[in-house]
Amino acid sequence: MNGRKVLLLTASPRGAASVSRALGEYLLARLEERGMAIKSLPLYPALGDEKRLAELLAAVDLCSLLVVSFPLYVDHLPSPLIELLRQVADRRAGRGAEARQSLAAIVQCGFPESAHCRPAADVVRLFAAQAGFRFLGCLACGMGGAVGGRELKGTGGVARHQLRALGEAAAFLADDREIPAGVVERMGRPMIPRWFYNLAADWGWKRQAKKFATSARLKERPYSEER
Amino acid sequence: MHAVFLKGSPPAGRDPLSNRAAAAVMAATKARGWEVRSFALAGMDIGPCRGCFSCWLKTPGRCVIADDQEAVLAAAAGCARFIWLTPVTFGGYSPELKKSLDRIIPILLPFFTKVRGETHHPLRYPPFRRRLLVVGTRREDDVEGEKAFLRLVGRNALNMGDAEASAVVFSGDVSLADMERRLGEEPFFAEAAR
Repeated sequence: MNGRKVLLLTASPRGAASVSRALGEYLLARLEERGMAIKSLPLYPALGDEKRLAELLAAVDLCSLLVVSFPLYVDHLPSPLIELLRQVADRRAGRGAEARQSLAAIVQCGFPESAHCRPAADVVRLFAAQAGFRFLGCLACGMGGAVGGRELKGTGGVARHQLRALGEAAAFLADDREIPAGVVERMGRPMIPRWFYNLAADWGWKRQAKKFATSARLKERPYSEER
Repeated sequence: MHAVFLKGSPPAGRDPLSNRAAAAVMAATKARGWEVRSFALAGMDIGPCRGCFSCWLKTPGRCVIADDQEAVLAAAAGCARFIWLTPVTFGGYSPELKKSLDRIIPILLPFFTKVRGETHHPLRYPPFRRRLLVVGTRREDDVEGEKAFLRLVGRNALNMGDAEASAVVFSGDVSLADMERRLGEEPFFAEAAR
């Protein structure tokens, strides 16, 4: 153990099936291998639960490295995560110099291009500056749908770039160093060819619609009369 | 002209600057005779998105969570003018605004399309070019935060069917009259009703 503690905060409503959780847990395991004490807390079960929320905020206070992992929601962080970050920033406002804490982020989206995640990376970086965390970087990837609800190692090489990037990032984060641009770039590489991902995604929606007997209704406009 | 106004200010009284900006938006729309559906999101019962995609698959176009977002979706589906108000929060939106935006995806289709060379979702409702105005407020000057905010608005516009978007950020002690004047200069308000 190197005496440093990492807290993974996963902000996804999808629980165990969450791609954000899979990415975060993989990084967490690599950080544990490098001697960090690890803790993992999901945000969503703490919503509306004061005891759990207090536990979560206390864990943020105690960690050396906070890693937030989340899905992209409308080019941005999911609302509950913004609310939490606002609370964290408010708690830390006016505090004196304390033990140095760092922050890193993982964000993934269902679009094939990781560039969609850039505004979310901005937001996390600006939060870090305002709340007094040292920002070590944001690992962003697209094609989250290609991972589905699987563990990363079970994706048959689909997430090979991301596995490698997360492993490389762990080496820097464990030493409290910034994630290099090359690792960020690797994380954002396509898992599969874009044309194939788009084809598979469209086919996937149609296949699921069959299951719900809604194939003919997918383009319905229930609020047309409101216009 | 119909417009939908999503007011993402914190709960009443906590942010006078944001409330003043809301009044300026309402004055600007009233001066032009627009009909505005206004939603004060902080006081509305809008739960977090569950990420279940039921709105695309099980009940196409409708969210399965029965709460106040239903009214927002009904109003937003076909509106030509969309106005969002938010305190600039870490260069982005407040959780009050975002809780509604997180659940706006029923007005999009699940499939992919290309917009300016990138992958996006097509609009569910008839193709028209929506106009989006995002009004941000912040207590102090923050160049970095404002840049990030403007980038975010640009990205949102692409994801809303390549909407014509603009953003205004009010900071410090701006008066209501100055806000109204500034908003009046926006093409969003200046153009004649379609």
